[in-house]
Amino acid sequence: MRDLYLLINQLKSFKGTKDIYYDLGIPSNFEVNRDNIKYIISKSNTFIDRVLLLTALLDEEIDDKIIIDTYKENIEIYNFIKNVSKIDSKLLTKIEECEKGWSYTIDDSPYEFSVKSSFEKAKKSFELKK
Amino acid sequence: MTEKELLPKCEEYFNIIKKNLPHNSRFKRIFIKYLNMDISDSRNKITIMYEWGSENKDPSSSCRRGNYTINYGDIVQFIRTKKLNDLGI
Repeated sequence: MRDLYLLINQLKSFKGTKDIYYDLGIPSNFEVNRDNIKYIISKSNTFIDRVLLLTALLDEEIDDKIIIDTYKENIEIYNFIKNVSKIDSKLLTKIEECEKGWSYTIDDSPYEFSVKSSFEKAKKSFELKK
Repeated sequence: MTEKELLPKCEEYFNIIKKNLPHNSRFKRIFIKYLNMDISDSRNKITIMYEWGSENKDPSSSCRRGNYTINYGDIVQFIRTKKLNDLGI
């Protein structure tokens, strides 16, 4: 659950593409092309890294075809990123308060449920592929 | 993300949602104000302010202000999702 909260917060943060690359240990002179993207995805150790990388690609001014192909090859991540958009910041606050041990319940939220289940499915699929 | 990178995203978002704002047919001026700039918090508030009023060009004619506040994180995610939809994957 903590991972999920941190990931959602990161996806919704001010972080720019270069910051994400830096966090993922990608060299600053990284050339965004098909081969390099494939290589980095194959070297990504965690599902979260792959989500962040694919999100960063959306902010790049690169050929749409590269983005489309990359997302098609990583359809679980595509579904996950789309589901995150359904989470509004109020819910994010609620999740954070739960993490701190407050007494809110999040079980009744269809948005949160949708992302959590999408996260679990994608994680499982990624683990199977590894 | 720098302010230079931030502003186009706010404007892009505003162009999408502005049709849902009241008085949209009589906008005169739109300006965006950041309430704070703590870049680690996606719940940073950004206020989009706008002036609206009569189409009359007379500067003395009445002009009113409205505002719309949203969290930056929601703007970023909304725009990224829109891009995914536009790509039609």
